[in-house]
Amino acid sequence: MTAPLLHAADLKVTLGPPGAGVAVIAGLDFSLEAGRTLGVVGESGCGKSMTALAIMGLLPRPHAVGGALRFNGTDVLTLPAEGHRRLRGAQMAMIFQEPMTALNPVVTVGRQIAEMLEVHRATPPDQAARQAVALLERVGIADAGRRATAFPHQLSGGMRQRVMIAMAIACKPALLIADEPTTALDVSVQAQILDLLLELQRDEGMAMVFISHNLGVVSEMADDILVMYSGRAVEYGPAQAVLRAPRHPYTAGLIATLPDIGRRQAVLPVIPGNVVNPRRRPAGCAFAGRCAQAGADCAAAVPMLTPVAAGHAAACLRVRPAA
Amino acid sequence: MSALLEARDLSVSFPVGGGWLQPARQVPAVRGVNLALQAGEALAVVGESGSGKTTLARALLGLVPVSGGQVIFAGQDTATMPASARQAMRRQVQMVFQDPFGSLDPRLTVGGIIAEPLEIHGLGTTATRRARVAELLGLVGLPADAAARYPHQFSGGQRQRIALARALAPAPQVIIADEPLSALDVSIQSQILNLLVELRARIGLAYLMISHDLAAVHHLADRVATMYLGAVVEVAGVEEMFTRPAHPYTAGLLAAVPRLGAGKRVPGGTLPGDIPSPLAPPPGCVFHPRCAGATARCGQEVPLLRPLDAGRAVACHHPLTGAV
Repeated sequence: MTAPLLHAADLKVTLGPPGAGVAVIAGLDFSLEAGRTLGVVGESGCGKSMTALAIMGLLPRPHAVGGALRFNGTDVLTLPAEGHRRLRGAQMAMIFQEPMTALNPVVTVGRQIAEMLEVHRATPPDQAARQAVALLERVGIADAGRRATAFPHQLSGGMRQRVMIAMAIACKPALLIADEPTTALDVSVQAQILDLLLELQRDEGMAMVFISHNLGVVSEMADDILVMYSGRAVEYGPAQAVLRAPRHPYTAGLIATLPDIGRRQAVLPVIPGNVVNPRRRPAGCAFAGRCAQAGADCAAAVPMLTPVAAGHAAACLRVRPAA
Repeated sequence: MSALLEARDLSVSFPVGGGWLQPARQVPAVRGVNLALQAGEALAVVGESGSGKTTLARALLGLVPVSGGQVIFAGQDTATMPASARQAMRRQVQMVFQDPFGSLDPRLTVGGIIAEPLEIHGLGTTATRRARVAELLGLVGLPADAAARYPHQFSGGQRQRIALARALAPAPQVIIADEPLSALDVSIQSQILNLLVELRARIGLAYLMISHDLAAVHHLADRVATMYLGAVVEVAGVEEMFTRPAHPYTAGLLAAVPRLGAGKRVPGGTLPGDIPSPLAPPPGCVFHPRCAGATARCGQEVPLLRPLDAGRAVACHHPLTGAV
């Protein structure tokens, strides 16, 4: 087996000054091989976006990190800022939920894409401008030559997300991180963007970390799924196994609460209570307070991610481990 | 059965641009909508952003000026009804907004927020209002001591419960909810969805729900209207709409809903393009440039909303007949 492209081992991230920080990621393990997609699922505050920012070296300051996070063999947690800056854009790139806030409003979209190539590839400006138009065509923007001269506000939300994707793939990165890339879009445009990402992945062979709160979207995009709750993984495994036979009560609960077209229920199952605040994360299992199966033993220690089937693990005391 | 709240050939347009010596252009946001909400029914309006669903809701509430047609409440034209009837309508039709962080006054206590509509409509005394606030908090599943606290002390889901309690305070017949779930966490959405279903069963409310979440619409609604570029293109009972959509646009929206556990996505077959600009709508059927089944006729002749079968209407020259 080859070494994975991306590998996290007991990753920890604490935001805030020393002594007064909040542990937003409290020990996370996962790995991603080249060309594959890891879906990261969870609700607000579970640490999924912070995981993305840790990979990209964009964590808000001050922060403290622990464990290891290897990209192509390099531990990016210990990488100096300049080294991380060289990786970013060239070997790893990220797209965000709201392209309007990620794009520069006073620079044409063609120029913004060309700039990527000039900075990371030292492409001459005239050549970079031509490549920018080709990239806009590549991401499905009609009349790309004219659109390259447009400013972000002159484009629709779907088109802005296509521009973001064009910028992200400009230098053919090995890893694309997509943080809720379709959450602000209509279902129809969402489907177009998901198709585009899959086609680009097929053609370019890039790996993807696909972050979303939408289980349906992750189901359609991911090879493996990491379910996060309050800064830790509660379930990790092959996407269809996790979604069809969830083993952690939180994963099972999330799936059960979704209304299903084609099967109307009188009352939807609910997960009681609210998402736990990482400042007030209890000792032991963070989900215990909302879990119907929880007992006194759940509060004693944080459950370890335990194998339940081939490549499938869950962090719950009530789960019977694989033989 | 008589309609409680009805749009009759309703149009709304907004002025854009214009300046010194230059008249503003009118952007049609809602174009000739006929839609009736019956007492006690849950009607959902779906469509992409820019389809006019929020503007329609605001026009029904009288929050935006109408440029054509009528809004009828309980048989009376709201444009010509006497002030007293209008005041009564404002009590009977309440709204719940998408953002539970922006729609609650941060300087008022929760009790003050919920009592405010009662004070405005002169309902009850200080003591009975306090009792009513406690009753409403119980109804939406919040503890009675919530009344003395402030909105920032509550989570998104709890704030949406507060917004619902405020809407329910003057005992309305209709609640218009504009994307009431989309700002909430996944595990909280089902709590609010269940509450909406339960409140309707207990109080006999009518809902007009604006949503892009088709699964939530399927769960809550009796009837669904699909809007595209300001017009209603299909109206049907929820099961008919979801199993046999007649308009290709409705079918395209339904096909775009991601399915859980159905395996990895195979690209293709998605609704192409974007909703066009209302300033330059395509000729004929405004949907025809995105429609796989469009013919020459679709580029020339505007399809009218016409009855298809029982309780169902579609604005398409070539409605679909198969099941999805």
